Amino acid sequence: MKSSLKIDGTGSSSGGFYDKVIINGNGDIKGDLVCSTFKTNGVSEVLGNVETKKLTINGTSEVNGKVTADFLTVNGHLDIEGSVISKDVKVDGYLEIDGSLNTDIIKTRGVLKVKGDCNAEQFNSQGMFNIDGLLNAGDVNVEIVGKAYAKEIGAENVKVKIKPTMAKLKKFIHKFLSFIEIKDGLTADIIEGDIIELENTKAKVVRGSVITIGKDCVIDRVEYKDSFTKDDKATVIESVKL
Amino acid sequence: MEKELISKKDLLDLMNITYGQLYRWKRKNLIPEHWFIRKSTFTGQETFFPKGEIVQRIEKIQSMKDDLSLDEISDHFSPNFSNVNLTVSDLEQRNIVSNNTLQLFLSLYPSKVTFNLKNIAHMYIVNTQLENGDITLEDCKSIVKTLEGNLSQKTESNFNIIISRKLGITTCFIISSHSNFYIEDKAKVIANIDYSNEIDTLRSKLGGL
Repeated sequence: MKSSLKIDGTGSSSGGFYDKVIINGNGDIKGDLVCSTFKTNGVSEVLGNVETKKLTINGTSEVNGKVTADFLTVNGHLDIEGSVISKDVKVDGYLEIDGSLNTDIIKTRGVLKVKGDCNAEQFNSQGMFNIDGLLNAGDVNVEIVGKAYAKEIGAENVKVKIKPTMAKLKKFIHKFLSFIEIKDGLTADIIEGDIIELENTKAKVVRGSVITIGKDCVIDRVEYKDSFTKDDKATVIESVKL
Repeated sequence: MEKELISKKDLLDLMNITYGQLYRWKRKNLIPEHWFIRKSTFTGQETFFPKGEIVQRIEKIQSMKDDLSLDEISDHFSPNFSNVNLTVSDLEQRNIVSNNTLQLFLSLYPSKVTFNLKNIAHMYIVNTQLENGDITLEDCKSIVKTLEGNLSQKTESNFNIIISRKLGITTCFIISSHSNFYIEDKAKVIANIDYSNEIDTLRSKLGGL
């Protein structure tokens, strides 16, 4: 049986193999860490890779290596310099990944930043995200709250909707302060998929089988195979049936 | 030698598949990252693929997908390197590399008892060059050391191995696939080896491992 590591207050460890690792306060791990669970309530920094079943950050943490965690939950702020391999990622705070993110499910209501590619079976966002590479997912479900960006999106199903409460709020603000431009929405270079439904999206090219372009979209070019419908409040510069 | 390329659009038409399928296969690592070649065209940026390889790969996936799960197919295409473990006598029996190469490898790593796919791939690469008469045994040693030292820990295989010679001195270096490199006039490139191709070839040689 491996021992557990607990830091209360301020302390540091050189890493290694542990059962549970918990930091309440301020802790530094100077080396690779392999453990069953890793939890930070406060501030932590890992100078190395982390391999665990469950990683939970309530506070602020930085990992300067790779992270492998079946469950990754961020309720605060987590910065990862390497790539992430996970099964279930939940972001209610801020997660920044310099490498790529591979997971089965991701649910974010906070801010997600990925410098590489993001691969997931289920990508659910009710927050802001910024993906500099390809967002490749089975289902992409986005409720627009603020700004979202992905260089490319490739998926089976893509559904982007403006969050109802946000739509109301926007309408309300516009009623009184029509000069304020609210720059929220999804921006992407290329969106490719089988069934694509978009609202409030700006893209250069949208390609797919069944494409529905909803309100407040600005799309340069749509290429579709089976069907294409466009809302009156959307701008599509050209559309081509393949 | 330019490979024939096919655009993503034409590929979907030709193979009768959808974007969703293609992305799913990419996500499951059934299609290697470095086959996605981005080029600018008049309609914006488009993705191209090496035609021969991708068509063959998709035909294989389509023929297998009724019987196997995508993860199983993925294992077939990108083997878990830790699964391959051959002993000296296995290697001798299978006749994958010459005895010379094997002895050379053993002289560098005397404690080696079993060989994983990468070890074998590195031997296989120098073996091919050696049999072509392009490099000497001495060159082999430094090349094997370079490959073992830099590539054996890496999970991805999208590299090219360049072997060059200048005034009789051989140098070897590793670059990431599809990147350009320029070399001084007096130096000559003896070999430009696509690492992932070599691993694929080796895999088919090893057969049902």
